[in-house]
Amino acid sequence: MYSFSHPKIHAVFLHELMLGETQGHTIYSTKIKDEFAFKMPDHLMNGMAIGTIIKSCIPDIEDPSSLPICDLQHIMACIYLASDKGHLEVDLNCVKCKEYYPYTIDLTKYMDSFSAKMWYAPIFLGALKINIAPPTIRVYNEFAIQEYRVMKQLDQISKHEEKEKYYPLAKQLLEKKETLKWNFCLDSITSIGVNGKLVTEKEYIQDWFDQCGVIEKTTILDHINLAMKQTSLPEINTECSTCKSIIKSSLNLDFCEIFRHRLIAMTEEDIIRTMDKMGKENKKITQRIMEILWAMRGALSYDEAMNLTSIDMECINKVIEQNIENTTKSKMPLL
Amino acid sequence: MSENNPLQSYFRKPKLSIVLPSHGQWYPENSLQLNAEGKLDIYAMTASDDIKMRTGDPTFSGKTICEVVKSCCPGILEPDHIPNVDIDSILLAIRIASFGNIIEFTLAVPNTTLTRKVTMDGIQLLKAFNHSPTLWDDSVTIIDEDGQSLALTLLPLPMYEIFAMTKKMFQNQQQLNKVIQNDTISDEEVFRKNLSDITQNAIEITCNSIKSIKIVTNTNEVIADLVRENPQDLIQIVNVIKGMDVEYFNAIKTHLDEQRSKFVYRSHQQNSTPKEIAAGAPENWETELTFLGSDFLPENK
Repeated sequence: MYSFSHPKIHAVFLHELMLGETQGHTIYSTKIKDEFAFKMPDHLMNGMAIGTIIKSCIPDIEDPSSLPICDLQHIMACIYLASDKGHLEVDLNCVKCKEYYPYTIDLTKYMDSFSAKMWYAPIFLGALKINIAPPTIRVYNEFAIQEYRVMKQLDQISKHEEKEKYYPLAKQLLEKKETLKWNFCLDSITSIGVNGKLVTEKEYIQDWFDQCGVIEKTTILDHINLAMKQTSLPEINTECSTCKSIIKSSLNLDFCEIFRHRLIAMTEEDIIRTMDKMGKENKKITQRIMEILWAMRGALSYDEAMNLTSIDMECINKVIEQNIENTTKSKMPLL
Repeated sequence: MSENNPLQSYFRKPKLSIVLPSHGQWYPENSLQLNAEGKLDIYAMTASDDIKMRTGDPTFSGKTICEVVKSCCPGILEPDHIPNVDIDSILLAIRIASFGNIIEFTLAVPNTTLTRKVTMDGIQLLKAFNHSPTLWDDSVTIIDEDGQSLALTLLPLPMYEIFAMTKKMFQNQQQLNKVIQNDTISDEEVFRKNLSDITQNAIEITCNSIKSIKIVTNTNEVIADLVRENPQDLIQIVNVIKGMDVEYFNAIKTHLDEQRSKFVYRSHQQNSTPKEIAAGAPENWETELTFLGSDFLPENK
């Protein structure tokens, strides 16, 4: 199938840099068909949308879910840049004066700040050397979905349960949330070095981890949190233009996670409305494609149109508009 | 847990050991295993214990505390029977073993609504308080105007009874809050019942501390010798306390409070700031330290 999209960026992923691989990957712009991935609730919910986008823009990645999580934010930043969306518009909220105002982030300025060094640095706990590695995007997604479920339930019980029932349920859910956090840590441990030996057996590592003191576990958790932070965009730190107080905000490029977070506080009606809106937006994209196909008089197939990039679309739209203008001026019939 | 695990020798070990203020008294038989030095070994909390403590115990059953004590003090086989004189020392030791000896307390400034943060060394606290079971004076004798004497033997309350009472008091307070709105009582009956329950709680807590009662006349004739272990006697003990002159009841209560206060950890002497004095605080004061509240865990990052 012909694709109008052409290579835009060449990038070496963070984990590859750590492993000394320098071949890298060619990154293409997102296409019209990818727009659907951003607007399919099920795909967003189960995290598949990320995989769809990565596969579409980096064709040499066969199984995006098996990539290490340390690459996710960096890859998404590369895809945004390749799609000419390097200037991200975000709405910052000043907690003090409650003002919302748009803020633009130039991704090119932050590309060098991504680093997976912490993910590949061992943690020393006395005589133990804890070796960690980033879990895959698939594993991370499973945790993120479970965490979403817990958060959604917490939100639900806070709205619908009476105090007597709320507290025991909330305790259960909070414990579950904390357990998920520790399980993610455990999944990140690949081996433990002790007395010159390397313990790789998962059951031994789990036995040790389960009985570990809270300080030791917190040391591991802090290290992993820092590793996650370093593979993400740095925190936005800016001054509110109204009240001059400092606004801090983190920017997440995992749009599936953002979608799930948005859903947490939504009511059932809000969720239905959001789904409807997404459905309508998808229809609009299809409608626009059909208009282009009609205007191109068979020069493009449906599949080819779906593989257009946003810049291609812009160019074709200009040509169509020009044609309409010309035919209108010349009073020729528009067939 | 596999014995072949090469990490076995790096499993949790006792971080410190303490002499229990009770020296093992008042525990059920065979429910306490001390080390060779007669001390209780204390392990650091696991992450699972930390989760339990941070998410609280909404039922006020003390279940969380019991589980954490079981995990950090395997020598205590029945944590719900820990006498109240030991609870603070055990919790303080667990806190030190888990997060280090520097502890930040939030103290309520007396006679004001103000609080202040104070940092203290937990090890020094443990060392400075030379608790001894002999501090607990278990006998109190009341002689009435006719020369008749009432001799009581009093015990420190076990942890499960303290939590059961806390739960009851909390429930009563909640019921009272429900019926008192805008200074008016919406349900007189519920109001009266809960007030009466609060009084009953005070009697119950005193009864639960009594091991035995002996009543002797002025002619040395023993007219009652009641022992708590005997269920028939227990009913009579409750009846004696319920029918007691309020002055005598208060004397027992005061004696119990005095015994308990001997085992309490206190802050260093605090000097009030001009702002605190203006708000009604005394110039110098010290206060009780508690380890069950929000000060027990350091702030979560």
